[in-house]
Amino acid sequence: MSADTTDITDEGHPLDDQLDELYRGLHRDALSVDTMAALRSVRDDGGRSPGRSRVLLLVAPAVIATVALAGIVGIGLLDRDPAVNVVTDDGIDTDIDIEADSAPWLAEHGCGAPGVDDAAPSTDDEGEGAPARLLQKVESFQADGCRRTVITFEGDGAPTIGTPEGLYALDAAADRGRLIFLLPEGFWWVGAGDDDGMFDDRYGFAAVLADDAPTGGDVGEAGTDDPPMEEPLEGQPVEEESYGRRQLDHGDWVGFHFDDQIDDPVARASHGAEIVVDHGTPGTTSWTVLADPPRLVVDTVYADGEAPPDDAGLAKPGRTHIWSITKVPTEACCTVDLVFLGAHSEGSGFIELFDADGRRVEATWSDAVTEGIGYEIYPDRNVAHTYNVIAGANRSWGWSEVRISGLEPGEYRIDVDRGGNQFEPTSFRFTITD
Amino acid sequence: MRSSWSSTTHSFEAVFAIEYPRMVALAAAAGGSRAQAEDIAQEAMTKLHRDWDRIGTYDRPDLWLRRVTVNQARSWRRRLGAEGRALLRLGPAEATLPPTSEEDAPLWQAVNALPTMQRTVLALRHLEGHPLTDIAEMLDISASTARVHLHRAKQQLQRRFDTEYLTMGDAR
Repeated sequence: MSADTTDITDEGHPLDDQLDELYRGLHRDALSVDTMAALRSVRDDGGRSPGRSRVLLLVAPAVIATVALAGIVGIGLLDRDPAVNVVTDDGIDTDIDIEADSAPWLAEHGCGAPGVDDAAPSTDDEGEGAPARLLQKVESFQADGCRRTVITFEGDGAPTIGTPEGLYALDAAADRGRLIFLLPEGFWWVGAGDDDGMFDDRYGFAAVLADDAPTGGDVGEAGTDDPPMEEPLEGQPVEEESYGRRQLDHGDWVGFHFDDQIDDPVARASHGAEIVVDHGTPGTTSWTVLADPPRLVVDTVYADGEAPPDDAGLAKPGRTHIWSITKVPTEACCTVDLVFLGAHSEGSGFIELFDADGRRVEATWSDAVTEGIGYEIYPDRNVAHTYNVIAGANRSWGWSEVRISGLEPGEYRIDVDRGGNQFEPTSFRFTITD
Repeated sequence: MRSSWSSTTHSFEAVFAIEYPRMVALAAAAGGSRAQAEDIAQEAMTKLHRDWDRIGTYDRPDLWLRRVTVNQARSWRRRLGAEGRALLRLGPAEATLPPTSEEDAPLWQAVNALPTMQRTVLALRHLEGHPLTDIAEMLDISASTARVHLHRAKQQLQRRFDTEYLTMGDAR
């Protein structure tokens, strides 16, 4: 079965005719604009009407001042998103700003809004969408019940932070700069990305901000007005070696490097279960979910049965993997929720369910719920119990939830198989016992 | 669709006559504001005018122009804070682009609710008829990503229309 992304070209989509007509109408309308007047305006005064130009001259300094102020007091007090203007040598001009979308979530969690500090406009960068070249360090401090996190970066990209609740692109571009976030405790990862949130995994890393984070480090006193800004949190970015085997608390998140060299995915305790993350064997991470009965054991294996090379990472390019599996007990055992993490791959694959004897299992697959960027899972059009996996870009990142119901106790295997493109085949086994 | 022009074969005025209305339409579609579309298109054309001798010799100056227009539109949309509202209050004094027709309004509303990239890819594909490879180059993404954005845009539109249709059916 081919599951190449060409399967979703949308040619012949039911809405095509309506869309074509809609845009044809817009095009017809646009032909009525006064082209000659516009041409005169472009030639005479740089493209804007005199009145509007004057207004912009008045507004622009205010905006600049606002941006500067944002670095001091944060965007929560402002009436617009702070932004820095980026103009490339080619004249590609854009503003890259801090998306307001992140503020409500932060406000809701009692941590105020993020601010931007020391951001400087870039005039010789690679333009919109260029990833940050380097994320230097993350520092974390306790302040007012929230972690004050300082992310220092170099490059003109847009750091993106992720939370258990979603993905937040805190876009702020600068050649180098320092972003300060006030974050509730929890897992946050930081990646350099473009203004659409796609991030370059080479520079991404994760921060663990839980109280018992094994990274230790210099954490300021709670409520400290002036945390020790220059003291880095030791062990950041989090290295694989920092973990080994560790018992997590309920709801804990653990983050790891999201680069090509570290072979660990992100794991989390979900649905109140305890998760033991064992990184003893490179590339064969096993997660044991010790939920009160029934017990669900998830092992990561590889389709060819061989141990992967040391540098084979579950979150490395070309892989889609099951992020976590949770079981939802029902009267007719059982329903299993799968959370697939797709990362950093451009291509497609498909997911199939087998029993212990390798027979394809008839089960009910729910529609997938997908979050993230450039990544999705959707049911195959032709084969009812197969799901296609699409990662649309090199920097795709996201997860999808797929629910399988109607399973009996027993052993199962799920293959995330290579489709028409770059997905590496990966298998997962899980056992449902009463 | 390929707009074949360069500074060696065309005058700026000739290119302006061809491309300006197209950029107005693209700005309206990508930025979601017909009122601001002409300003955005003028800004993009001004940049072209400023660097005509250089940009006009590019292999695909048409893609450059569209990228600049799309960026301008997206920047304007981002600036829908104090500055954007102030400009809106001033009103589109010179705007001549007609308002959306009542018939098209629901679909425009749905399109405008799409995420920026989806809306932009949709416009470049359906308004201008660009192949995905050109769209990818304009937006500095891969063709696969452009395809996924296009797919998701239509998926979301379809979902919205299905939901509204069902809701209306329930109401009846």
